[in-house]
Amino acid sequence: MSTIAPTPSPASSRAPSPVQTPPSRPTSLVEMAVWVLVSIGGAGALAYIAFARGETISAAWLVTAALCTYAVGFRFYSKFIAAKIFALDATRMTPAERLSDGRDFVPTNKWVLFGHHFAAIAGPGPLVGPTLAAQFGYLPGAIWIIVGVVLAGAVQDFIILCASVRRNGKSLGQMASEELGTTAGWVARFAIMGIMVILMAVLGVVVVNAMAESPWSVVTVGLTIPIAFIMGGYMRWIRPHAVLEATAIGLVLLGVALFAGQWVSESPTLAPTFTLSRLTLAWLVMAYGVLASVLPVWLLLAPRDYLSAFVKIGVVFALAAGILITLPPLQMPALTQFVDGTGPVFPGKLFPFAFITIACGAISGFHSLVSSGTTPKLLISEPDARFIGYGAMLMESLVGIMALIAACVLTPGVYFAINAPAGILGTTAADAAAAIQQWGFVVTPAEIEALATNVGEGSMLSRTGGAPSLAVGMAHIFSSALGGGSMALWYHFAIMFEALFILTVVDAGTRVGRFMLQDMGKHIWEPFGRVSWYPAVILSSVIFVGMWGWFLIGGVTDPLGGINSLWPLFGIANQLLACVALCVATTIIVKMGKARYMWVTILPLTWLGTVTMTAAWQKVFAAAPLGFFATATRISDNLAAGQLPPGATSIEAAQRIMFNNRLDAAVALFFMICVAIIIVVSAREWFAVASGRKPAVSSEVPYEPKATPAFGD
Amino acid sequence: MQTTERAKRLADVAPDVGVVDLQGLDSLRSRIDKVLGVVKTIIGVPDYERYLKQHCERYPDALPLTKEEFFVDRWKAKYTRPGQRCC
Repeated sequence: MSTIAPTPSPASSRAPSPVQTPPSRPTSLVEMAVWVLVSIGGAGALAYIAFARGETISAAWLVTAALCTYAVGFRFYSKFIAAKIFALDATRMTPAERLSDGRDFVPTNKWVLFGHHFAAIAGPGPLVGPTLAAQFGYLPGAIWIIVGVVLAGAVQDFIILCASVRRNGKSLGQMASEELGTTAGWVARFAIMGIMVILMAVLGVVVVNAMAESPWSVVTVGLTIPIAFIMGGYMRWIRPHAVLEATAIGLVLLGVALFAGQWVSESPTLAPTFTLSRLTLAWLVMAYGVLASVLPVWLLLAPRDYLSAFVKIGVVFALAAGILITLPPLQMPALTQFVDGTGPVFPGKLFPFAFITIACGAISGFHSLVSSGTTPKLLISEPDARFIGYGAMLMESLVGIMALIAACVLTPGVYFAINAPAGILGTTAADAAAAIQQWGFVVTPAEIEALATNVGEGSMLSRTGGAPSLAVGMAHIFSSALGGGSMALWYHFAIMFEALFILTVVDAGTRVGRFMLQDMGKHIWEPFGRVSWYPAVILSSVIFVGMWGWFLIGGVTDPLGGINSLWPLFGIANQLLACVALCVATTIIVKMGKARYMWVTILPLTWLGTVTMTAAWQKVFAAAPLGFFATATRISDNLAAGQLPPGATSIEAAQRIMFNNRLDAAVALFFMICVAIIIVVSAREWFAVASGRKPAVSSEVPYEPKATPAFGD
Repeated sequence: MQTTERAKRLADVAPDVGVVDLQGLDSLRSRIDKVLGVVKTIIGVPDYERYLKQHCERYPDALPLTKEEFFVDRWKAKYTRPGQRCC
């Protein structure tokens, strides 16, 4: 190996293995020429989208810039990390082989593992974030997604995966405890819990906003629950474990549900019954969370998961195909005036809020849990970690780019009509059109009404949360790829897809959260931790749902629509977890004796630390409407003056909004303190190793040769 | 007792042993099975056959889990700790 550590650690100064990785063959001239062309293509496309002004540009530029940058990043940067930091070694035994038990540790073909890993990391995040960030124009989102993934997101996923593979598949929490001490371990655990609560709440708001006042969506999405029961029953009693048959039945029934929704929405007697308010839907989503956490897995969670994974991968490919076929022009300008922080979708300036709003797609801390969860236990050959860890994240980033395109094919007028809250737009098409025209975008009340009729909804005004506008964009792309028409059907298909996707995160997340809560709670009261004792199960489920439900109810009753305050909070939380992961990764690199390459993780860590801290600081301390404390004070001033703040219907409601703002501030402060602790603890560790006070000892499992050579699978 | 139990479970896995081999059909079927197997793994269906094979290779003397037990065990692992799914 060409890379000998300056201070050889016991783990890396292993005896030379009998078969060394063959030295990479010299790059041929043709290959070099191709890479030069790809690099020029990527840089050219990026430059074009950055400097093109005045007219609409084609989505092809975005796709080209993304694909070329990903290719160069994968070919050169990930290879550099693989060779210089970890010296990934095809002859080294992986945990999948060492601990192979057919259960947790299963050697899995790399293509299959890629699909599995991608299905695990890709959630609603990369769809919603870019849609919301489109209020700044397409440029900030595009650059952050493309550059961020190559230098930050994929790096995090890849390095954590390698670290976990070298440690028998340890989780991020375990690695944090081991590398940084128990304090950091506990901070990481609490942070994960906090993030889960905020994540469930914000996804709840997204799905509630997508279904509110829409009988078609309520019926179609609601029917996915009995469909799961049917699939579960089929797999239990009729054809045990015939998963694919059941999934095929489920897919057919989803189609039926789509048309059933249409039929109900057109029925004058049934439609009002299924026209539900946001508050009612919020309670229903919470009830669903409790149900999913309490019911046996085979009945609800498992069948829904199969169905959702299937639909997810199918729709992602369909969307990619649709975009490639139509190559739609982007109607949104490169930059809007809202970079100054006056945006209606969420408040806050371009820096730092574009980088908080788009987490998944550029970098998502949550991925570090997957990279140190199932995937490291399935990897056959070490060098494949590059394709799976780095590669799958590039693919997710592409999903983010597609979501951005889908949001930007809408004209800005329509985009803001759907995404700006009623508190800003007003409640009639005429008011909304007037407000949007004041921002300098062209839209008429008739257009806003025609859009709603076109997609089969009563109104599309202020359908915040990102899901409805993404669904309109997707419907637009699907419809024009297939020659036009059926907008209403495609719109509700997209809503169903998003809701299926989101509810699968909410239900599984609630169950996981319930177990985490039981695990923590048993230290206080032992019976609470009994996982198959019904009183404890129900109690812990209700407590956990109550935790995210509080924020959900607060979100749906907020006059500014909830997404406004909760999505930035979620972004901060997610980026915070990325900071924790990058701190752990840096510590691992330093302890391997590779301190001279620590810039690979320090670079994204510095950026994310700055972004997260600035955003959280502003959310807590800035003036209203951005700052939580200032907003609360403004409401209390209003109340003191004997008037109700705009949007509040009663004094109690106003007091609740005030309390929620203070609570949000407390949560943001909590996240800031967590990041600060982790960064300080890690930095102390790095300096201790760098100054020689602490020996650079890697905690890797020592080298063992593979029993079976890793060719093919 | 244990050995016969194990033989029975193995017979569940490979019921085709001893069936007349229709060459062409079988290779097509095995190819389809392979594709379906990949789809199943990607959508996250636990693979009992593989577990049984690996279990029998590694621990020839121990009794493997039944298919029911195995699925319950996998679901428990999947829905009790974070790291299986992301936002």
